[in-house]
Amino acid sequence: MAKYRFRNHHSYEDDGTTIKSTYQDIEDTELKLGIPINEGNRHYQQYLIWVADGNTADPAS
Amino acid sequence: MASEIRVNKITHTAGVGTITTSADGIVVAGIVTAATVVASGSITGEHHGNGANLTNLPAGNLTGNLPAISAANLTSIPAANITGTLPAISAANLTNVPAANITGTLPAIDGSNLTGVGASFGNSSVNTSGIITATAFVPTSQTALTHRNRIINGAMQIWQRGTTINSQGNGQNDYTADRWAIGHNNSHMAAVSQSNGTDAGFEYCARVQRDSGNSQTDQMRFHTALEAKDVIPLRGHFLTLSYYARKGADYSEANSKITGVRIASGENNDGDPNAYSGGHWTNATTLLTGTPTLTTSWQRFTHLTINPVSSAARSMIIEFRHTPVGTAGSNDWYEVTGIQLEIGPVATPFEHRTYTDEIQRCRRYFQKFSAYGDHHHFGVARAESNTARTGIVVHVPMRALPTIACNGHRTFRGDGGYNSESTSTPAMIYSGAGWDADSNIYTVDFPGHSLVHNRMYCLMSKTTSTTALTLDSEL
Repeated sequence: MAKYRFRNHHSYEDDGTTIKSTYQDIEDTELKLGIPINEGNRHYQQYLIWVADGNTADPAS
Repeated sequence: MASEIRVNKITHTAGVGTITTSADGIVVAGIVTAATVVASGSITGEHHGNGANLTNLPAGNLTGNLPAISAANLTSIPAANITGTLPAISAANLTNVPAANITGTLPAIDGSNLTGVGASFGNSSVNTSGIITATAFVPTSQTALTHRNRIINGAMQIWQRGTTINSQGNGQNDYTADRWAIGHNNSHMAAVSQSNGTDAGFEYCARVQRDSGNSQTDQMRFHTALEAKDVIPLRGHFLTLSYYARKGADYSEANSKITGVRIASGENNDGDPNAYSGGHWTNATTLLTGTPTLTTSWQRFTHLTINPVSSAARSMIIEFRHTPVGTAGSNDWYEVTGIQLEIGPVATPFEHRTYTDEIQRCRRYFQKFSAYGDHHHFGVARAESNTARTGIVVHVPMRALPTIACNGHRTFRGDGGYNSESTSTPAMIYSGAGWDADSNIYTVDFPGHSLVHNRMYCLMSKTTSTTALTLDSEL
């Protein structure tokens, strides 16, 4: 497992199964942090540096 | 052959002028006219007539009272010749007196007539032990009289993350006291802890300490940073940094110095202080580098920036750097508090803020919701499939979309008690877009539950510490 992984979070129609919309964030799996994909967030900036160093986050399941 | 005429009186033919001889000399009755008079003795009696030709009179012969004449022509009198007490005359005509000639101690006069002084004090300071009252105070370089200190938590009052924070190293910002982080390379070597600052006039200070017995000698950087909204008002101004500091008995820096008290600006937005240390700020400009020498007693240090803040600055770091040497003793530390950054060329007294004011400022960057176990009520949540979606009410709007952390959460049903439990990490719902920086309610998803879609649940904490949830939007 990589230090970071993408997560998909869904909103559903009234049936509870049909996906209406989805947003994504990044989880720091070591520190258990929910990191928004936002340029102003320092943890997201650290993630970008981590990627720039040649690392790849786990994809959303 | 000599001859003589002996007479006792010679009379003019008109019978007016006479020369009478006697045994003592001669007496002339009438006018004597001569080309030159040579007197071997004194000329006595009254003298009348014009004195224009009375030149080269010996000063010793000018005695007695001078006549009451005008002094209009008394020019070019050597100052040394004007002695004694001046008469009590009016000074109304003492105009155009050169300032350089007004020296010495002024008399203890009433200053009520010092009107129209204007800006004539120039660069001088005005000191008084009395009370100054004025219609208005208008500082020209220091700007505001209140809210002078641009540093948040400069008195080290707020420690939301705990009162002792270990460094992780590896170039990370490890936030300690609110708004203050420590960074260094390689692995853990130090801690920052809350310490007593009362001898410096503060309740607390921050102690930056290398672990006893540790022999890492990486440069340690204790710093804070200002966001763009707080940097922009500083543009074009010189700044003064002041703080109180002292060292421990085993402080190992080679010359007992903080080797770099630094202020730097950058043109990138809301710069991460550790990224500055890594050389990643845009057009980073050093504004100040101080090297104070510490003693084991508290001292107040002040530094003035060498340049005004750039007109394009959007980031600023205030940093204390030092490099330990050898192996740490048990008191290899320095302490710092009362940190103030203000506009203008002088350090004013530290501006103490109330605890409430200070913690609210800190919460713009970090917020903690405290509770033990399942006793913190996050709110009523709607089930989005198996995710509990609720609105977290924040103390103050935060700088940027925060990172969220929560080590456990529970749901309860109104008709059935406990429902489910999860340790899945929550997510800020506006992670990608829709972030409202001024909102006081953040919608948060708590995943990993067993819920019925669209039903309502009570969402509680389930934590093993006293921290139910944290929101972090530090720089």
